[in-house]
Amino acid sequence: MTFLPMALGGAAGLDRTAFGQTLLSHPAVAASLAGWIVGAPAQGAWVALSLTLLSASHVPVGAERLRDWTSAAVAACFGAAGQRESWAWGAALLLSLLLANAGGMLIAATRAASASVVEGVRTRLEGGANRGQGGAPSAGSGGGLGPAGAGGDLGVAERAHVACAALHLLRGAVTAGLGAWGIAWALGRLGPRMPEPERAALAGFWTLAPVLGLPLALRLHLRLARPGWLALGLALGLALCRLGGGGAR
Amino acid sequence: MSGATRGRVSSWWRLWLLQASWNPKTMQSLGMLVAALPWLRRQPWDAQRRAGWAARELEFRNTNPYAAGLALGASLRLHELGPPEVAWRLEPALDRAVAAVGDAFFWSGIIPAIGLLTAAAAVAISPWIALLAWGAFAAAQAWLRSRCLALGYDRAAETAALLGDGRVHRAVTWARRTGLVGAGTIAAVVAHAVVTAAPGTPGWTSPLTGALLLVGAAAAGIIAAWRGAQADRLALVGALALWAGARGAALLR
Repeated sequence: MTFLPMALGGAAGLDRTAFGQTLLSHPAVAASLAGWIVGAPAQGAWVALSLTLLSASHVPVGAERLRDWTSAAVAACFGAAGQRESWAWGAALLLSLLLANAGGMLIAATRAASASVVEGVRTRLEGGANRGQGGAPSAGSGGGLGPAGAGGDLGVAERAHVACAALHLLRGAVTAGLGAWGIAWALGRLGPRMPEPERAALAGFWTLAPVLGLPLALRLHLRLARPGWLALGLALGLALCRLGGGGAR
Repeated sequence: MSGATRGRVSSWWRLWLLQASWNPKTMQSLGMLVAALPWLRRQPWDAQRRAGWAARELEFRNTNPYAAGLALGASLRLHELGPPEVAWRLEPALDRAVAAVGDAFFWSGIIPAIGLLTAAAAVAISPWIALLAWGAFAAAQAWLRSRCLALGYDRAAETAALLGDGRVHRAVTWARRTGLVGAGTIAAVVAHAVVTAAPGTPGWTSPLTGALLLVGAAAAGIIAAWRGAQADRLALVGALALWAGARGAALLR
């Protein structure tokens, strides 16, 4: 069971920025998939909806403070696997928000490591370029990766780039794996002794978390288009609820 | 397959890895260089010139990852057509133009729209919708990346003019409208799910308590949105407020 969150967390962590950005890393997809894997598709879909709304106001451009919503989505579903009560899923969702913040710091550290790697590659390439100016022979400088004695310097760029991608895979796997393990441990350890008021608060949080995030998402999108399109969305949402027979929850 | 075609296919799949070494200092520079290597290796240059060109490319590059093929294709064509100084002077402007349109289309429009619509449909209908959305988006962007690379190479410096085309701006407007449609859809699904499922929630002791909690959460969200607060911090504060409320109610009983 530890392998699955690490595998999905690693693949989704890679997809987040390093490779593809195909939306596997989006909480809507990652949590839905994780929920289906652990046999709780309805709860997974609710985690997807909650984290999508809570992350909606975070646009990944500029100096935005990082959060790892991907690992949070995977860890919440795998950590609460086997739980049927809504307070346990509420606790998993709450803990996943803390994980999202911690995961964001790890992403920042990975990017700082990437900056050092790129600087190292640049130094190597500049060294290769300057060798010719110093009268050293150009061919046979190592590697033999390209035609016409292109030299190993260009191969250094490729290897460094792939190593950075591998770092993201590892980061995603470790964050999601440790997060899922931590959430499962907390639920197993604290759950049986959890007093009733705390259970009620966590169950309420499970239900209300999307309500907290919804106005922020609405505000963001209302600035970008005329409000009439919101009415169309509301009608579409009601049609979906009717089509689905009352919702997957 | 000719060497040029093989090189273009190689650059296309390398563009999928564009941001593997993304960092705040040089951003996508190494990713762009790695995507340009198939082209660089075809140039009749000696190793020193190639290394010098590659080192220069590593200074700074940043654009929208989905449409990066436009900037890459155009800059490589410019290097073929004229002196490198001209291409290097034009590269930042090209990157910025592609980023401006690409970010508006993808980050402010299509991606939030797909995320919101997918999450809403996953709850209302089936989580399988999420897998369908993922597959469809991956296939669409595979085509788009290939088209952008070819278009950028063909148009070279004219790529910037292409981005100013009215159809591109209409596409951005429609993407943003779709984002708001997605927000409306998820709002309806959340309202429906909370109203129908909440009475079964422990602690939802009476319809009045439930209504008060719902109104309180919505009001907190609206205040936070008005003040520009972060949603995850608001959620943590909301959880604390719920805990304090539940503890207070237990003490009163």
